[in-house]
Amino acid sequence: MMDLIVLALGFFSAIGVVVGLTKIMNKRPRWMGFAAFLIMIGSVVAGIVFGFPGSGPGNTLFVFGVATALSAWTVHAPRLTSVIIWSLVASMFLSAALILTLPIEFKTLAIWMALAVSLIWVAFQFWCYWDKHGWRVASGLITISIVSGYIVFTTPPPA
Amino acid sequence: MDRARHLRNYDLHSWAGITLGLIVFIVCFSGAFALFDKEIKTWEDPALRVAVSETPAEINETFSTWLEEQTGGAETEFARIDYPTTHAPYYYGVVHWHDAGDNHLDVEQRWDANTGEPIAIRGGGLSEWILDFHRDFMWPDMLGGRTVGRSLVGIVGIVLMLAILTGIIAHTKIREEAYSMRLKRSQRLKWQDSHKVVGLWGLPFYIMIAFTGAYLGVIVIVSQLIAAIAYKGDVEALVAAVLGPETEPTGQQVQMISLDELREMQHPGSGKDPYMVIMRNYGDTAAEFEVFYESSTRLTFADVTYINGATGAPSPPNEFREETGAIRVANAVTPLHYGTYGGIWLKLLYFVLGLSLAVVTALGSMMWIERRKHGNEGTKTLTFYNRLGYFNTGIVMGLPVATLSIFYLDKLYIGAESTRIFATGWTFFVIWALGLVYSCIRRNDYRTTRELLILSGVLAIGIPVLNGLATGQWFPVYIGADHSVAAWVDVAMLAGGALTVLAGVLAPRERLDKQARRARANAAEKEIAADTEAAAVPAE
Repeated sequence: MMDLIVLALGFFSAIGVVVGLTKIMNKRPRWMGFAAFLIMIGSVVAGIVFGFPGSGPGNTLFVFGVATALSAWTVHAPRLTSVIIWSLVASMFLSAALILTLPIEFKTLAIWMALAVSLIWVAFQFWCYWDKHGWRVASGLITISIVSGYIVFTTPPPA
Repeated sequence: MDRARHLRNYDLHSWAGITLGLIVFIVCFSGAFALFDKEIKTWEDPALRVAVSETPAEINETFSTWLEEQTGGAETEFARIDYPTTHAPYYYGVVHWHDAGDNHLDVEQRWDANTGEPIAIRGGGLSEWILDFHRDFMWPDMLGGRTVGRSLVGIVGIVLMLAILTGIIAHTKIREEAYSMRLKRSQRLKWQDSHKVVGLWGLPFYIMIAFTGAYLGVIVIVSQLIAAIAYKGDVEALVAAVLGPETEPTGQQVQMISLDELREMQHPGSGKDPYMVIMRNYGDTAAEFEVFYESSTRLTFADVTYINGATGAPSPPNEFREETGAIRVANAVTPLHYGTYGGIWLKLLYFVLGLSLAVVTALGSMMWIERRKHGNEGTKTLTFYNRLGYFNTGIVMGLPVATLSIFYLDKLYIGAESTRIFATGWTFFVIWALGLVYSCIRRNDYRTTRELLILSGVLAIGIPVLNGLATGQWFPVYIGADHSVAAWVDVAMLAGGALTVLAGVLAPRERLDKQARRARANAAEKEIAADTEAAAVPAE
């Protein structure tokens, strides 16, 4: 449990660091998208080689590598990253958080959420290109993911 | 809506279409054929072309002996018996169990409905490929297996929903566009009008099919992810929380209720006979039988009752089996998606609408390429867009040819039954790839479309002939028989093939630019004028 929290915190911290640094430098270089892609592939390979999923260096490499790549890619193309990645992550975490927190019988709620999750996903994707500011979408979806993730990781599974 | 937002929305619509539009096309086209998997199965397997027996042989003794022989008395996970029906006029049994080493095993068997004698299992092929290619692309195990494929199909449903939503918003004059069909204008306008008109008129169906398809596909990853997140990876705990805990066996052996008696047990509401029974804890005092009855008029997969396997008494009420609103909606998804709730005419309507969705998708990608080849959009070279056009045409027009080719493979296959499905898959992909190669060699999207359409039509027309030659059952003779399903498949292929050939013959050979269209219109006008003059000259 603690491992998961630490990994999730590390994941979002890495994103925060890269995004923050890039914004401070106010640069979105052209090579960033390609570099992000290479880092992501490299970290997945390294994660597999060093034993992901599991514990030890495989996990660390995988999580931080993917986080770095994702954050670089998000800075490079916030709308595109949001429509491909963040909308999915946010809809899954939000659905899980709603299942755990809404005061409705679990089995009924789980079925309704299974039906609703595709609609939530599409709604988030639609928002990505509807909003005037690409950054507002990306930060909104990441915030939803973090808040929902916090709820999910700190709430015990239903009985 | 401001212009920038409109453009962003339009970009999302066109990019969602161009990046995944071909996959949407593949899913829609294969789905139109997958609607008729049972009918195609009857066409595929001549052993199924018999009328359902009025007085079928008894099966209880045969089934229980077979079960005992297969499992060696080990505790079964579940067993299943299917009673003879129009589409499967034989008994079918399957059992799943774990051996001493906890390895999962399963075995299936079918028996003649009249004699009770075992019938050889025919290897999966044509109908299985058509259905499963639609459901999960027959995704190989080495790349993650069917679950990955099914999830990808679900994502196609999500993309389709997104494309529909952005498409509705992109069209600001829906009422006018729904009736606007400028058939005498440029090719691109014809495509554009067809895309809009067909898309708008079929909208309710497309929304429904995209949503139900997304649910059926995405539910696999959603349940896994939600289990991973909410239950820290314990999928079984999630299943137990939603569907209820499984009944544990008591270990006390007892005689089960006769499956022949069970066959006569009609549904208390509909009065229908059962078509399938799933048995858990078979042979145990805690055995429970799930009895399935056809539900052809309700939006549910089947009417199900639960009985004690030893006594035949209804199972005690269980809160997990109560038909709540959520369960009713979830149960309606599959019949809604496959059109199983309204008979063959509804399926035919689904077929037409499904194909129209495939056409709308294909037209969308064709327009995207056309605008870049002959319009002012796009930044790549003409060669790039030409190649993209060849690829698009090859994929779109190669798929019908590949789909119809596997009907031929089914009747001409001479290898082992166990490898029939592999041969089907290889044939399908090789023919499809040949279609793609042909499109690239031909270097003319119009001619490729025309020629592959005609080829598809000819292949479809040849299917009844192939069936007659291979099985000796020519459809005019068998169309009035008790087991006429295969004959109707032949008739449908004949009619569909003729229409496809006609469409191919009428399709243009090349792109007509503005000058060519003007020249053609002038020639037609001159011809009319000459005819009028000739008519005006008084006869001498």
